[in-house]
Amino acid sequence: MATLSDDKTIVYLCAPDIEWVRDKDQTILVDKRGQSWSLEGIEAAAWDWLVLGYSYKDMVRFMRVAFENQTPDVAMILSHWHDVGILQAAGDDRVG
Amino acid sequence: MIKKSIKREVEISKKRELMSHFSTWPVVWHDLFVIPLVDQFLIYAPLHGMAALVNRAAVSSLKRAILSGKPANDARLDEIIHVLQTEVVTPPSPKCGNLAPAFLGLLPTRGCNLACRYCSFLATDNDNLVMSLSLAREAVDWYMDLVSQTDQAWAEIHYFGGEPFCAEEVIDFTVTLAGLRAHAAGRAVRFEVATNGAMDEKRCRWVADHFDTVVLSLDGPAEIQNFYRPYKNGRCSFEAVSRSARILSEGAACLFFRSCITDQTVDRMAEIATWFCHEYRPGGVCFEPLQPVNDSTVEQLVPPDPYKFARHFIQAAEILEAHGVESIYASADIRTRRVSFCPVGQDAVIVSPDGALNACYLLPKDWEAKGLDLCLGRMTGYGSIELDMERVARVRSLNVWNKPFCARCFCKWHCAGSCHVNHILPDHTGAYDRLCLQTRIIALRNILKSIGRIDLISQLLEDADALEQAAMQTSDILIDVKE
Repeated sequence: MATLSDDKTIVYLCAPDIEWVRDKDQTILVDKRGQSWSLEGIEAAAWDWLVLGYSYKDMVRFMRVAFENQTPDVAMILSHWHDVGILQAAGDDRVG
Repeated sequence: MIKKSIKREVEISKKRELMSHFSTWPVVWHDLFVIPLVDQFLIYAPLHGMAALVNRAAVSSLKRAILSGKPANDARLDEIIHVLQTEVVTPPSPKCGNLAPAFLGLLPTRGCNLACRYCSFLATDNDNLVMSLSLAREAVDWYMDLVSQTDQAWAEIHYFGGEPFCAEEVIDFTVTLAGLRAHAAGRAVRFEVATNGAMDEKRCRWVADHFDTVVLSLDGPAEIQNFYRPYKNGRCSFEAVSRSARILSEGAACLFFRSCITDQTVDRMAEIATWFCHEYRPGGVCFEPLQPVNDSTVEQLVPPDPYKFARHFIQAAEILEAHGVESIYASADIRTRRVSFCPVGQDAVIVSPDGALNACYLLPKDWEAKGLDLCLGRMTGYGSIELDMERVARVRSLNVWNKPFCARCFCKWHCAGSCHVNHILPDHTGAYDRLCLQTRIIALRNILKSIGRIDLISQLLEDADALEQAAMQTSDILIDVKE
């Protein structure tokens, strides 16, 4: 999984101790410390596509088709997940 | 609310119109059948869900009582007549009013990774055409809008092919999108897919997690599967498909097998059923006789003899049911009462990769060859949807009320004439073809099972003359039966 930022590609990976389960209306993530996150709506959709191995470009393309003029900011979603520990960057400023 | 009331009134008046066609003769007597079973007779009223075994004298008494309007002077027969006269049943009627699809069908592609010897989808003109994501979105949005305007608790999306997973991006996109749209509309959404199962392990685990129902085409053990269903490059498909069957057996999705039976495999149906039960955990197994198409004819594959198919199906059904697995032969399913078989009778809209909205997932050239037009309209993927309600009405008219050949068959409310494309009904009443014969025998078995007399079907199968008499009876309507 990857996200583009200017001329760099940051490769994000799911944090190793994260486990997730998909329910009807939400995706629940937990880590070993017992911290949990509930993803709904657009975030859950982004997660679905991410774990299927779609690239950042593909995710943006999907979101554009799905939401037309109100395309969610995929980069912001990924960055937020990185900040809260759901995702880890594979290497600092790694160029892909 | 007002709209709903008006719609309901329209539905009721249309039903009355249908009933009035039969007002010269009480509907109930047209739906009371009698089938000879060795030395007994099965009285069957499908709309009342009633079946009884009687002797020849009772059939005569019942017929006389019905024709004369007088009691039969037999407590048990009069009870049957009383039930038929007093229990009000509404015969199934075609859909009317606004389009209310039972499901949205998506055909991500007609392409396939297998080259099954009997497949009618091979070498189609648009083999490589894949549905665009914008078209897929338009289809999902249109359907979810329709569902949200009704009181339907859930939406239902079915994927057909070709092999749908040859265009997996379309599935990945639409499953997630439909989930989002359903959530926003306060509805649940169910997913069903018909697949050949020739996919990698990771993809199959995803299918097991995300789909509610998976109909997996697996013809049987390795030598059967590999012979009939090879990859396009000639490689054997069994290993991959069997692995998928195992993964799906452990998953949340309800797994159904679909096994195509030829005259070469018909004798092995019981063995195949046993093998399915021992190797996997299906919810049901559907055995389908080969449907002859050009490619199968070239391969010299022929459908099984209908008597043989029915006999072996019944053996296989016993094995499956002993393992808690449903045996499926859709046209002989006595639990359903319907006017039309398959998606065509359910207002289903199936979206092709080119944007055509059809009532059927088969190839247009196949229905066109039979003089049918099952196209309902078109979508462009750019906000332009043309759905022609005149075409919808024409497709709705393809129902058993308009199939005089079926009028005197006891299976008419279950089979409804079967597939509109592949089952061309014979010209005159009682000239049953192979599909009719096997449906009638399997339905008889199902009725007898429902009344706890499955032993009688064994007797019938052992008596070739009696079996033919039951299967070939020109009219099953009680009042037509000669004494």
